[in-house]
Amino acid sequence: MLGKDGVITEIVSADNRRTDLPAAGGESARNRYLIDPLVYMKIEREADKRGMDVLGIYHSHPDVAARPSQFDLDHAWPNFSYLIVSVVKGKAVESNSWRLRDDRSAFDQEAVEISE
Amino acid sequence: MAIKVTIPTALRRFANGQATVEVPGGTISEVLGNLTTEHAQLRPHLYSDDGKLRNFVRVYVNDEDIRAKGDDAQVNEGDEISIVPSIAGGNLAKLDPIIKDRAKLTNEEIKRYSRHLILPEVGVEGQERIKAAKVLLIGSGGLGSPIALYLTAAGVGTIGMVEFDTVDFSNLQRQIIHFTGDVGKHKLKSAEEKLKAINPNLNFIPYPVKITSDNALDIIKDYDLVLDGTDNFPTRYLVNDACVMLKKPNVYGSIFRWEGMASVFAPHLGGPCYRCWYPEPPPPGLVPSCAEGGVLGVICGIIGNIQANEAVKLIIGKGKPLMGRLLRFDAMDMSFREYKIPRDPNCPVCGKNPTVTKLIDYLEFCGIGRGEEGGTSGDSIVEKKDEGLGPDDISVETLKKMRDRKDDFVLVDVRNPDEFAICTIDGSVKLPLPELPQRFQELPKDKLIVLHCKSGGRSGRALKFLRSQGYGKLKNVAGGINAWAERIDPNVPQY
Repeated sequence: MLGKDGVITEIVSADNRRTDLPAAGGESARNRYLIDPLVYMKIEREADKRGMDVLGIYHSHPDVAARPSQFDLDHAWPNFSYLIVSVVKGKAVESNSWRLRDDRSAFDQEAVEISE
Repeated sequence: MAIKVTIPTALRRFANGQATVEVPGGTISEVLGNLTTEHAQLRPHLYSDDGKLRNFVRVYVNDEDIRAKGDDAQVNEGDEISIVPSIAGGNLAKLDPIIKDRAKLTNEEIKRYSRHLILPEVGVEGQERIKAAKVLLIGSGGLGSPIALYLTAAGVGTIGMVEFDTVDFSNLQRQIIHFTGDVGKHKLKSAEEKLKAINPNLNFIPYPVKITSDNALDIIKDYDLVLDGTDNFPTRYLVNDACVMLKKPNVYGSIFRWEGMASVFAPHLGGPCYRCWYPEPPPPGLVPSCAEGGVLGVICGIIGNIQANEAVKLIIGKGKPLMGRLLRFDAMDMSFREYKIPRDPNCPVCGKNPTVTKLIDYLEFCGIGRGEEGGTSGDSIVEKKDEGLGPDDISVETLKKMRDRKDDFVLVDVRNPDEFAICTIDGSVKLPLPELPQRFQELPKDKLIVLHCKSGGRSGRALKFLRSQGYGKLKNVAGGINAWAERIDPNVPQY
């Protein structure tokens, strides 16, 4: 999610580096995402050139709540908005945005405002 | 010497908002060390408590990942270090316990299962699910033995067991639920005695039948999960298909010689089924059975216990099931390898448009004639005795007469060399079945050729092969050398 000063104006999609097929209870591309660091670096450089910043990352949680998992916390970057969309049976049912505390201890939910 | 370090957006607030920082240092670790000294707030995000770079932090020197070189690598004037986020996350859908019911534990059971109860992942709740669980074991042989023993000890409330066979001396090397004194006894009786001795709380339900397309759904439907300990393809496909249709998890295991495999098949829980992995059975005879190829007894314990382990996890809904993954064990290397088994969207049983919607004739599907039908446990290649001999068969009594009369024929033993060392019939030509396609021309076409193996299965296949090569005068010894040992020459050992 790109923008400036907390306002997201552009979405760039990045391929999930994980392509493994689903296995219930197991890790796979269904329930884990990984953005190639080089792809990320390119996105950030492009944004820099255009006077924008990467403000956060959006991802979905199929069939589970729109709150960060322990895995999300373990891998989180500070100063990013983590927008999580809960998708149940193929439909987006809930979206929440989260921000990592500076001491990495937890996420705090943040307000999302949608403007035209 | 100052090196330019690029800071990712996410961390710039901790570096006074700068996109790049000039930091002194001669190696990567020196530069990063100085960076995090100068901007201390960066440290917890780059390094974990044990001082290692976090696994989601990538460091590039001039766009080259340093992981190959290590962070002691030199940096030179003009180099640019970039800190790049590897962005990861996501949430695992929780695996629900397949057992929804809970059965209250008695005081005796609380004592018995105390080591489970203090395991946080099991606890009283998990143990009550284990007690409520109804588990079906197909076979009480090499795999079924350890599975039954451990699941009974673990407190599984109900165990059904399908087995038609009686205990044989050749079972004792690996089927550890059966003891020497049980030889000749029905395996279900033998198993029940041991299981009840371990845990009298067990509700044991014996099925003294062969599992077939006619009875499989009826037997399986009352259970929560199935553990497949069969040694033959028709039963394996039958159990798979029935479990897919009834939405029952199928914990699969198989063993051969020094190898074993295990997986969990459960399309209704998101995994593949056996057919996603093996849509078609191998041609009959290509994969030898344990009775033909041998098996290290110990492997049964290793693979069977992996199955039991997965069964417990499914029951309590904890951990990562062996689903979508095939675990292959090599006893000689002492190594485990994991293979991914993707779900096949076109699978004939669990795919989007299944073509197999009711149980079929699995013997026909596997290309096996009724005579060499497989069973459920180790020594399943049950051969025809005297009655019901096929047109190509002769009995061992006939073979004896032919030898006594000094008929003109060639007796060919198609077993493996290791088996020749155990016993042979005097005067036989040794030609192992795997070598037959290369060596069959050693056999005369104008003479009667009589083929034998251990019990008649492999020599039957050899006969078919020779017929396809233009041999006309062929006979197969029904019951093989074991029948010879039993009925003609008691000096020959049976195995």
